[in-house]
Amino acid sequence: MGTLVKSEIRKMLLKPSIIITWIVLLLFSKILIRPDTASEVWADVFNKIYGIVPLIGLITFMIISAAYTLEYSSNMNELINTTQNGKKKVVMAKWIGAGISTTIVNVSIVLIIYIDGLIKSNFSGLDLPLKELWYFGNSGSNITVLQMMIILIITVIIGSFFFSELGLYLSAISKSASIPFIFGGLLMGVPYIISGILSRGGYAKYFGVTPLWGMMSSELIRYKVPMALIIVQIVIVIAGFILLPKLTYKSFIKEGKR
Amino acid sequence: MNKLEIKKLTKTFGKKNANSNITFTLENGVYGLLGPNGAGKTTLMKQIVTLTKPTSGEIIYNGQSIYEKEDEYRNIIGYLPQEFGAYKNFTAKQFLKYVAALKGIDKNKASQKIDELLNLVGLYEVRNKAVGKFSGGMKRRVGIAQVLLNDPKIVVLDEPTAGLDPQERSRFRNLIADISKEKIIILSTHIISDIEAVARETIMIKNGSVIIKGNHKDILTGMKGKVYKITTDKENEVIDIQRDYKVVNLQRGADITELRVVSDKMPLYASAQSIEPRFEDVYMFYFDLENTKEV
Repeated sequence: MGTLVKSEIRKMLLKPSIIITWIVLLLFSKILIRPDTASEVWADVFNKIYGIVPLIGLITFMIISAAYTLEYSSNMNELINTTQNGKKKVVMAKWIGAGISTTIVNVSIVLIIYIDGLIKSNFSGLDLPLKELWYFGNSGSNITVLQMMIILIITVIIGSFFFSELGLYLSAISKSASIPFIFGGLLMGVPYIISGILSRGGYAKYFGVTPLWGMMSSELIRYKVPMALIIVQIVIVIAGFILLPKLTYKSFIKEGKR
Repeated sequence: MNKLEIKKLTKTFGKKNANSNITFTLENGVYGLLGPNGAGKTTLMKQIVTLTKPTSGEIIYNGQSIYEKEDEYRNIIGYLPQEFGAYKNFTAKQFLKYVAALKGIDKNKASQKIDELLNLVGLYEVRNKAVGKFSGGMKRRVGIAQVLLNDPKIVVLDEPTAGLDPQERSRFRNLIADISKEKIIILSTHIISDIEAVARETIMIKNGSVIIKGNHKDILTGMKGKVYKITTDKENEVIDIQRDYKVVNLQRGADITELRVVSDKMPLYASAQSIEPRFEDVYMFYFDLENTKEV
């Protein structure tokens, strides 16, 4: 399994187009935060991390979109499905490989912003409660900046695995990599745009059910998303983790698939 | 000794029979699967390698249905799909390691086997070069190396020489001849000379059914009295012959044109004379020229 996962990471991540985009995003992430007081810097950090979601989505689906379409276009799916481990393990190896790849990329982007925040705030303000940051102004949350940073990293990892599985499923049912790229991007992008539009009307909290906000957990705190909606979101994510690999497998081994 | 029995195999897609009631038995050796595009060769091979299940009929390997112990059967097959393309950003060695993992081969054993196979296919020196930079022939050789990783008893090669230059084709044929010992090798192709060069027997498929199976000598014997040479110096006769007969070859000289035709009956031309059949005549006799890409 280790060799299969490593190979999947090599297929998805170690491509010039991905590496160049990744480097550009890291450089871009480095220039987002302005030096200011600690509370301003940390508010800016969480603001910019959510603001950069479209770019995180872009690179996430760039990594995943071709995962299965590459196999179909090279006829490797046929070779894989005639091997002992191919039918059983490749779908799982792809998921783990894609999850690791997107996690490395997405967490690295978040970490660069964190590190920049630490430098620009002179390593202070980590114990500030979120309610003291303008970005979380109405939340009344007593969670500290450091706690939010840790929670966000964890949810970005879980979210990366979720969106990887979603992208893999779309890739498995598509003939061209552009389909999972567009549809995956829409599934991530539409809640982002609509929640931005509806945030002033007080409806934003309903986006707490979306996996996007599950990934960007700072939004759940910012808009005081009720626990019931968070539970719905957790159910959606768990259902995705259970169902999507099964549907992906079914599609990948389907007769006559090319 | 390996024995693969195909019994009354039928595969239907909607209302179309891709394979219809195919029955034959294969033992160790190279078998050429010959037929035009859409004849049902790939469908047959996909059933042999468990990619597709037959609508009816059976495939039996050494007395046991291949679907009874599918995993065990997969361990003894090697398959090179049509238009196979390895991952561009993998080196030859990385790619073979990946396939070895797919085939469940132990890491240490795999490493040794990979070096051995890279030597066999003449790619050891470029083992750390990206496959994306390989020529078409080199990629096919990587394909053959992956086929052999698990020391398969049944090897299925789908159009392995299509698009290769004559030198690479010759190299590929020699490679197939080298590995054919104690294996059943099924080689599907449009290229008649490949089959003539390496196959012990040829199976010809048309419209999903087997129309001929036999060794070359028997097949050519069956063609005796069906191949003719006609010479003429009249252009309108050349046009008539091309209209009325399947012309395998046409050679124009300064005054005389020589035509090689296949026909059930002696052509009604004074110059017509029966000649020794060649393998391409067999193909032309059963199939149409437009389906032949290369000979």
